[in-house]
Amino acid sequence: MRLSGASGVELSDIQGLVQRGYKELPAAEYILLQVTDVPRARAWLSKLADRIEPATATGHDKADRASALHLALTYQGLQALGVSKELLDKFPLAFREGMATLHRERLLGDRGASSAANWRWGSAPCQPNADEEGLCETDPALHLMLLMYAKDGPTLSRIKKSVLDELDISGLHTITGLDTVFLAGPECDPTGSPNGPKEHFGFRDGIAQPHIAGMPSREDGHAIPGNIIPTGEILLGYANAYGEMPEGPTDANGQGFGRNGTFLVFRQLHQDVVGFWNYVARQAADKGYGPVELAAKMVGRWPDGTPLVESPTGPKSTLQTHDRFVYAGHHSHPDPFGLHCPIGSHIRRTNPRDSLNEDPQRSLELSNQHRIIRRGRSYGTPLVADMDPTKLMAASEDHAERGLHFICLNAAIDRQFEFVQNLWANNPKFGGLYDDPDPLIGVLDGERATFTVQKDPVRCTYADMPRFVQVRGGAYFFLPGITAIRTLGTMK
Amino acid sequence: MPDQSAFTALFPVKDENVKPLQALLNAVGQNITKEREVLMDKVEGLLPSTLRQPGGRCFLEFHKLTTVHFLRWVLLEPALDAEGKRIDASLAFATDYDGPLNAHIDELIETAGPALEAIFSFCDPAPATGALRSYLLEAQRSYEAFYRGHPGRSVQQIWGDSNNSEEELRKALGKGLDGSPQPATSEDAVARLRRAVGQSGWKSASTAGEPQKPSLGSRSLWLSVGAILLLFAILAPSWFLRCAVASVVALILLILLVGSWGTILNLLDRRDQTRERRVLDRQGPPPDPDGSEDPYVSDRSRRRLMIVTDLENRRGLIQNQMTHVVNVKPGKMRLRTLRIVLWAINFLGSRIFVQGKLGDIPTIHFARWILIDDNRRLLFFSNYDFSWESYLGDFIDLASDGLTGIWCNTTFFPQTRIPAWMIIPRALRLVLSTQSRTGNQSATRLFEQGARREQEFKKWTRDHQVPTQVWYSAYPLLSVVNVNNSTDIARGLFAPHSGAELGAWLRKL
Repeated sequence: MRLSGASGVELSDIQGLVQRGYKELPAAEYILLQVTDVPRARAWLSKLADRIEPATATGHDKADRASALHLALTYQGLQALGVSKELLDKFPLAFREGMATLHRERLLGDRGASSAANWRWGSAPCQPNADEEGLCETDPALHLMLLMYAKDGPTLSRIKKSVLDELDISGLHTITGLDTVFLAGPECDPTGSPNGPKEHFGFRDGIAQPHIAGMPSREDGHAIPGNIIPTGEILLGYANAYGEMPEGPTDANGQGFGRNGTFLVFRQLHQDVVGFWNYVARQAADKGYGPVELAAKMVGRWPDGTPLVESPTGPKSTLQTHDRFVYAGHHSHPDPFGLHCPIGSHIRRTNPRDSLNEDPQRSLELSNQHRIIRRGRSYGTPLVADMDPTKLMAASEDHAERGLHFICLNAAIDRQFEFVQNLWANNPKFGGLYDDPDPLIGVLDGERATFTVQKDPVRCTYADMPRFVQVRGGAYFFLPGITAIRTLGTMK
Repeated sequence: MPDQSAFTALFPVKDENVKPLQALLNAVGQNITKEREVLMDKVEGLLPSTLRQPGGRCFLEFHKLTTVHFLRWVLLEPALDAEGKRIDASLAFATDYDGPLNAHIDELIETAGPALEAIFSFCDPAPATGALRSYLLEAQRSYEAFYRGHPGRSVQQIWGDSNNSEEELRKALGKGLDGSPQPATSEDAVARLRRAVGQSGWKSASTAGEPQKPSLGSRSLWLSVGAILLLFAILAPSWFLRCAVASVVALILLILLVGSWGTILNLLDRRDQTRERRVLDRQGPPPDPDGSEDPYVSDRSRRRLMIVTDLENRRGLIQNQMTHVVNVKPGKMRLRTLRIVLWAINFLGSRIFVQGKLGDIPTIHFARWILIDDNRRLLFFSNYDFSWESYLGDFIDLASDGLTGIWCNTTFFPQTRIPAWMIIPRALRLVLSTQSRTGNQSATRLFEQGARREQEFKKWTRDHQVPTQVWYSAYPLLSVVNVNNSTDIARGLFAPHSGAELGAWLRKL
């Protein structure tokens, strides 16, 4: 029998990653795989299906959980496992084409060092004249990704061994393993703070997440109406914001192979931490903001997570994971013009909440049509162990590879992830600005970017902002329902 | 105030010229340099031998055009109409231009005469030597609807290297502000800005003109109408009563008329859908010189879609274009409905939506709808900001009624049931809710389906898009919001401000 949530959401068939990010399991690794022997790979999938963690009825985990396992597949992976063409054709074009077409590279800003031709892994650029079949095949072809989470390093190694050896993975070739690191800042509880560790620039990450209707979550008590999105915004087989079934292999009632699945966007983002803090320190000299203050203006939160719109003058320990706020219609400090939290700051652009147009209520509705669930983890040793901004600023360049394994979940890649990256992050015209891309993840075509801080009596701008984040690899995956993984295992 | 207009011309193309013309247009479109010109050596090999100009460095110098906002050439390949009859290939040439048409055509010929001749030499007939002017004017087609996102602004006023565009003014003001120390008060800031302008040599403070206002929403007009009615009610109560009764009767008649019209359309729709399928079954896909499959049915032709998408989001531009062609459903009833709806859109676009938003969409520079091929097809050109995905999202979220009203009269549009008897009541509610600015506007819609079928509508739009081989924008780095904002900056620079106004003006910088 399937465990269902309040509104018929089939929790026991949904991979638990959709529901929670396993913050209490700080060790994690992602393994990229290629199918080499189809019958054996299927046999392995059949056994694996039983070990995949489903969503739970409360959103809480067993207190003694030591590990969790998840599986995602690329379009090529589904092809390799013998999914019928009829079913494959029902997947949305963005997933079928993959992340690395000319069109999508332009949308996402993957150029120069970030262009797919320079990626360490992922799909090769597609040519416009490629054949209908087997578009963008790479060698070795990326088919599957295993996502493994554990309470500590030794447990992770044990899980890895058991999955790869005991389940007889000989039908699959390991392309590479992607390590992660848990960056606990001074404010974070190292045993697993519920609301996000830090990322390499030194800011608390992963705070704002939408609530999926019908999906129990441990933050349910904090859910505000403006932060709940229809189930079909994330999961196939349920109605989306337009009251329709998301495009994918399901029938008009939402039944079929795609049901309870979602699309997982993976981008390995290199972060130039020294470059970021150097820029901030250099620019902050003459315009009245200290370096940490300017960095906070760029992010929209203080390093500890406190939102600027709530506390513009400094961090407040009670607001570190605070997410119940809006901008234009804020109850005590309305900020329609960005005087507290700049219009172009990272968190205000990637989720504009009620400040997208003049009508706050309508804005909130429109913003919520472009939400994503974020499940990323950092990788690489931190520049400074305790992530203290002042020390980060003082540290010298070590040329280490560090950054974020960005992971997000959504039902419509083009309307959600790609839209946010393109229209809100990369677009220099966001919110009526002229030359301002997202100061953290945006890409400005041609000349160098500026960052504008709105203030009284008139704004000030910071010029010549370089790009602090480069893309090292990426792919679009399908994170299927658990039944669908079983189906793959028994497919003939 | 300079007037912005739309010029559209269509020229027949013989089948054997389709491929060579396509190759030439592609070469022109893909080789527009940073300096906004097309070099001769990029296109030379594709020109007819009689028109080659040995040693010519430039084929087309877009940067010399002073009257052109946007310009495009699109090759419309042979196709089938809704009844399965063949439509021959044609070349569409379209500009959004300033000032009188004659001066615009003269500039085109003067600046790009040989290039125009070379391109049009693939058409049937080709232009006679020295007769380009009459050739262009005779091929002109009128539009059904035209929309402008920043009416009344000339290209020169919007953008230009010389010291008289509003973009140059904005940049000069920005430089004035960026120096330290930061201005401490609003008055301080304004004084500094006026000084900066003096130093920059910016010349034409007066070009901005008065802001346009919606000419029907004017409060005084409605007040005077109300006053006259009130006067009648007092002076001649019986006459007034008769008038009131007559209005109610008229309203009921209108509901009946629109209702039965909508009901007939709904009935026709059922017939049309089966007929569309039958025509396709009988005829197969329309002829296609590439030999690729029919793009009008689904996304079977991935290759064609890639050609369209690869022309989008070009480097160094924040704008995009769309060319969309679709068959009008057969029958006079459909054509008439389409004409009425487009007339209404044109009316609203030129009278009400004159401040940068069409409906609520703030990203359209210019858009036009034209009936072509003896009214058998509807052609749509648009020059818009940002990505296709955001443009279509705006369509669906902010303007689905208008779109459904137009395109439900064309083939393969996502199924639309017209709520025939409810159209007028809903329209009244819509107008009232917009006027009072209260209530949830998103809840009030004329049509529930059609363009609101988000995924299907996006697919349908892609299926009927045609690659725009040559596309030129005079100010590729400015959004509609930017253009209108910069005009506000110019208008406000020397205007006296009260405290709150001053704050609002400074926020535009």
